[in-house]
Amino acid sequence: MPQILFSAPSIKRYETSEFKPEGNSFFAVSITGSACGLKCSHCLGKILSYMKATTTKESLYRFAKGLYSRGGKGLLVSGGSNRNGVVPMRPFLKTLEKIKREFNFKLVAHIGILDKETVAEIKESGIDRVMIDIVGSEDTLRDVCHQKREMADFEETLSILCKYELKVVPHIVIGLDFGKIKGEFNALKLVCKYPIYSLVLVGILPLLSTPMYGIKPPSPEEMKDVFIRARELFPDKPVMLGCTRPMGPHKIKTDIFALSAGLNGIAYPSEGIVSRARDMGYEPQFSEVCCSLYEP
Amino acid sequence: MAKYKEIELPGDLYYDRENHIWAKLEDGKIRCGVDQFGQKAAGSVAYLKIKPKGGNAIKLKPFGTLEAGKYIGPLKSPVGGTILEVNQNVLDNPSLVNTDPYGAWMVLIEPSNLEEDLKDLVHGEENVQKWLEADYKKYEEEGLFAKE
Repeated sequence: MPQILFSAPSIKRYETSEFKPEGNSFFAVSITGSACGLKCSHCLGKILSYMKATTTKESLYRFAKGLYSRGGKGLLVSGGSNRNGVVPMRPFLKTLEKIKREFNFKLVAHIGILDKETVAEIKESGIDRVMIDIVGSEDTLRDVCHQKREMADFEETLSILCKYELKVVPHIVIGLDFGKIKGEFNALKLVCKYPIYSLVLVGILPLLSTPMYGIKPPSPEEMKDVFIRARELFPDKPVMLGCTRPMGPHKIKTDIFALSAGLNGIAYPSEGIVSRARDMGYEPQFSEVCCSLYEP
Repeated sequence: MAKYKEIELPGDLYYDRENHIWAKLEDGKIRCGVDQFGQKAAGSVAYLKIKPKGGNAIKLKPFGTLEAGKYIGPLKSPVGGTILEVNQNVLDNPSLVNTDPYGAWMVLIEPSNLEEDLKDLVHGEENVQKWLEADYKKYEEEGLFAKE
């Protein structure tokens, strides 16, 4: 019986009649607080503000220690980028190494552009997974993400990460360009050249007080097309539907398409999806940590 | 009015301490919604689903669901009874939960066991103030707030 992973890390509080995590397992921290030099149009730093701000090595350690005492299992470490597309992770790596050693945490780093020296230090720190957003359109990178960097720069980082044999988990945001499908298939083509660990697909979520509030997100059918192509290009790698996507009836339909496309996991599944998966012959697995940590 | 940092909880309302649902007693009926603390913890509200008029409200069971940036889950009824009215305006504009939490009522309930159910809710300015401060510190320490 094929397995499917349903994950609900405590980055969001979550409860359905089918899956109610205990909570306090896996949190997200931002090493820049809500500060970001790019202020992408879909976020404006709001997604960072949903994370616990740990802007010093001391506050990061203190939060991790508190989380450990409450039964925590790991952290997603993220942050805003500077104007050069770099998340300033380097000063925190020794602290992350210590957190991993002392608390046996699973650590996931969401990074931007990196150089070889920083990648080598990430490798040394023992970070379990490295996430990187891959955008498949120069226009979207420039106009939505306000990047001075180009696709080739991100590909270079992806290449270095893989060269250092880190477990790399690229993210592709479906509908990132104000809800339109633009570079998604190109991003898939770019990523499939590299020995990644797994792939996470998410959908744009138009947030209040951002330029994207009120936009029409890609339809579940459009998202399904990306799922199917991803499954074709990555037949042997885990492909997951990640934390974010449009909500309500859209989410239910999208989740059903994720099941029918044969994705390996769904984060924060809609009500009824677990039983539907069972009906389709899947054996559900449940996890309270980040879906990037999935080990098939 | 209980107040701590940016959160205000009107002292004349009743509150479900676990789920941050406010309840207003109106001629023996209960009007309820998500309090300001609850909306801050939930983040930007994107979608709401509420049981229809005439449906059962069961104490501490869902009368609806809420999907937001930092919360996906049930809206639990502070009292048992029958749903008399549903606020279509908040269903159509879920972000009202963020911008006007006490105006964004969700359901009006005809309670079936009001006196007993009210005993489990926090009420009175002093009690609400104590609960607010303690819960705020817990949420802040554990990274549970969405900072807008």
